Amino acid sequence: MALLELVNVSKRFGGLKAVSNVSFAVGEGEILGLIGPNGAGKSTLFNLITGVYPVSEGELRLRGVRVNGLWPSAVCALGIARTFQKIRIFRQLSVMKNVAIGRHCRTRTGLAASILRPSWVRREEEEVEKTARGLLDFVGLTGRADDQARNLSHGEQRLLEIARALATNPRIILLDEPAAGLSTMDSAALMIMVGKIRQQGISVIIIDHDMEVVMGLSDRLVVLNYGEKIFEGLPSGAQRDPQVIAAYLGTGVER
Amino acid sequence: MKAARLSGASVAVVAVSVASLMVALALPWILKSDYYLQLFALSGINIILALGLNIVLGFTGLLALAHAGLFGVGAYTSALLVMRTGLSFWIALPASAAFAALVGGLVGMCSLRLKGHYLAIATAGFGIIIYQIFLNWIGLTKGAAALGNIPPPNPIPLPGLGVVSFEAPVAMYFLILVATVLAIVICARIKHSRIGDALLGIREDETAAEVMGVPTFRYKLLAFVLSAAFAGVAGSLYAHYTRIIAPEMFHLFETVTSLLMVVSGGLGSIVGVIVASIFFTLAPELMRELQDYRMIAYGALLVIVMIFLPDGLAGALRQIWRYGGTLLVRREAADGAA
Amino acid sequence: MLEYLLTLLVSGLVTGSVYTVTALGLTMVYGILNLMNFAHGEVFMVGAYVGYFLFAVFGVSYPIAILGAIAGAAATGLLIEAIVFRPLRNAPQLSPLIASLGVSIFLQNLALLIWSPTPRMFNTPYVDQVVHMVIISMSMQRVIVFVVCVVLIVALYFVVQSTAIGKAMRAVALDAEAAALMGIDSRKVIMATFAIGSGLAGVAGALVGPILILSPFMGIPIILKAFAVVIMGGFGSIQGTVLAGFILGITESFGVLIIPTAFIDTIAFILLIATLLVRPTGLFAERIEENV
Repeated sequence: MALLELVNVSKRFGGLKAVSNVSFAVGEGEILGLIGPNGAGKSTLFNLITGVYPVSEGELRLRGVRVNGLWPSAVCALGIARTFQKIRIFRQLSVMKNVAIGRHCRTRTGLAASILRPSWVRREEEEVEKTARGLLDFVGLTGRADDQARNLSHGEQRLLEIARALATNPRIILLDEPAAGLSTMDSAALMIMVGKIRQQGISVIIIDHDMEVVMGLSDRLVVLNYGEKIFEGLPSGAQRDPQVIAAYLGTGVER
Repeated sequence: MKAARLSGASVAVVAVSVASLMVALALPWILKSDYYLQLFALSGINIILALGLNIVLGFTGLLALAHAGLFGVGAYTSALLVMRTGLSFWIALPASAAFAALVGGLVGMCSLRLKGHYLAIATAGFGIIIYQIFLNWIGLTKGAAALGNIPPPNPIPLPGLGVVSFEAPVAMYFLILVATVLAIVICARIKHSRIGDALLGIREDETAAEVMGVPTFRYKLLAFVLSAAFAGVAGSLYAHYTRIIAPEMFHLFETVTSLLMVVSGGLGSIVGVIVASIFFTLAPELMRELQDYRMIAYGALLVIVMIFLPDGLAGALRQIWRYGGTLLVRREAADGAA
Repeated sequence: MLEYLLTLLVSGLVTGSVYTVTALGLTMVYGILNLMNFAHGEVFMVGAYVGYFLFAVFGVSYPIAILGAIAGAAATGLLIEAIVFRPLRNAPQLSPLIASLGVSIFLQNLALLIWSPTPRMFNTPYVDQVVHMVIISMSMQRVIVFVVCVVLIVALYFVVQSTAIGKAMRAVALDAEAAALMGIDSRKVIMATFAIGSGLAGVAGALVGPILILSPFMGIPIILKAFAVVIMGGFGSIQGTVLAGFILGITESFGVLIIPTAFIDTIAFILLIATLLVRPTGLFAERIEENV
């Protein structure tokens, strides 16, 4: 059974059909690239998968269990995490706090426990801090734990978003243009990081306009245009597919 | 506290807290005047009230304006429970807090689908409806004629020490002091816990928090309920301290006063809100002659603070600390310090 | 009986027209700046007082007094925009909200100080003139209120839909950056919107002043109802605001049959809560999905 399945998913905004009958599946430990011209519906698809928008038609299944119609926080608890196209970190909070909030759905200190502070609360907080620091090391933000999130550079903020998303212990992570605004060097580092994420058994769906990044990382590609899926298959196949080329791929993308 | 970091700021806060507590304990003998003691007692009540608002506005970022109404719910419920049913104050207090929390929860259920200005208006409206009920349900509250002769808390027999009576102002002062300290501790613990993190996340970016696994509706409702509980406690104490309450004390204007305390103290800051609450309790009393200008000044101050000092007193102090303590190269984040 | 019901209906239409005009002023500013101006009720109050002083104290004719009220209200609105909203243009959403609350409190109490809490009677000759319409009759003042409001609503609709300034307003409301790129001076458009929106509130105040009692706090119920109308009607929709305004006016009018007068103001809230629970985006709003 696939990890994540989209079955005939559509989304209408008033008269506009932003996503039209899209179906595909993502397997365990797979990296799926989601590409398409601007406005093709890629981020909308991410919003549908994570429950931010309700689907107009169709179903979303995580390991066979229907997840559309759930609150985003429930979807996250089930194991779907994401980053955002327009960075949405918690700007006034510290880097550490940003990642710690990601651990929310995996911890259980409630109101009474927060006030009375039995011993297990302290242990849970230490575990959260340890995990968070580990994630900051993983993404390359070691030593920045106490800085205010808004003081980080653009690239560092993207890394922070990834750390925060990983803190939720996802089975699959949706990366929305993680390479946007990154230098070539940083993009290469990003690619290595995504590879490591997959090695940990976490599947990835990645949206990006940087073709080197997407082609280099993806096991398979799904191409959207005007809300419809026009191609699904190997990256090499996408490069040759006339519909995809017609949609927007330029020529000569080196592998 | 996440693995207690002994940063310079934390040490200072602890030191100041201990010193303040000692001063507060000794206050009745330092002041030697019932009038000034009363001002500090009222400050305590205002601190509890403002801290409640701080939870919903400062931590969670929700402009909930029904606060004075909930304060009134606590006050009237407590007074009426004691006077009409003969219940002991010590039961009426938690009962009023619980009832205020319930009302707060109801207001929240109705208003929380809204964001920003809509939420502000809806909650302000609820506050006004509550005020109208106080004013017009004369059979219950005596309306504008005021509900007086509210008895002080029942005496507590303490084994070995005799009976502690609350007739005297000093006794009430200490009761309020205890309540205030409890409120501060609870607030601080919430702020530096998983719950507090969730609320702060909602304040910073509600959608992101939701997608990251924080059930935002539930937490926003929790913030409402908590702030209402604080208001209820403050109300009960207020009723049995001043012994006479009237609807005008629970008007939208009083919410504005609490709002000013929270905003000028610094949204989310506990120490700042405490200082601001004391200041705005003492100032109007000490400047009696300028009473007519009080609300004008408050209105203007709200504008001035929002434009020039949006992070309030706490933010200003943080800036000074940062620039003053240039030897401390590490940059403190906005959530670690009190 | 029929007489009574018809009187209630017509009375409701009159109040409805006032709510609509005031709410339109509010929703215009909301459309442009994405914020609700709490002080809008005080602008209404200023309009009422300016109209009163010009007419009752300085002996100016009523129509001129109304024009004076518009000018006074517009000036107040522009002042608020310049002193409070412009500096906070880029601040987080909560700041201008709290600040406008501060302005509201400031103006109410300033008015209290200057004009004292003694309620004033704004007596135009029309209050006592009676107009007979078939089976019912009402004061000329109310007729004037209704007529002027309807004219204003129609005029506003025309301005927003067809004139250059109206189109500029809609452009800035939809996308300020793009509008700027098209050469629209958004600062001027914002000022114009504030002026017109406040002017509408001022007219409403001057018209309704003779019917209500003037008080520095008369703006409070007005602003709450205007908000309720805007929320019910849905952001950005003139038709929705008009419909909601009249629904509120008529409901309040018939409400006296079942609700004690002290609680009439709560009808606005009940309708508001009902709207929020059933159709949170209002009667006519375009569903604006948050851009995630």
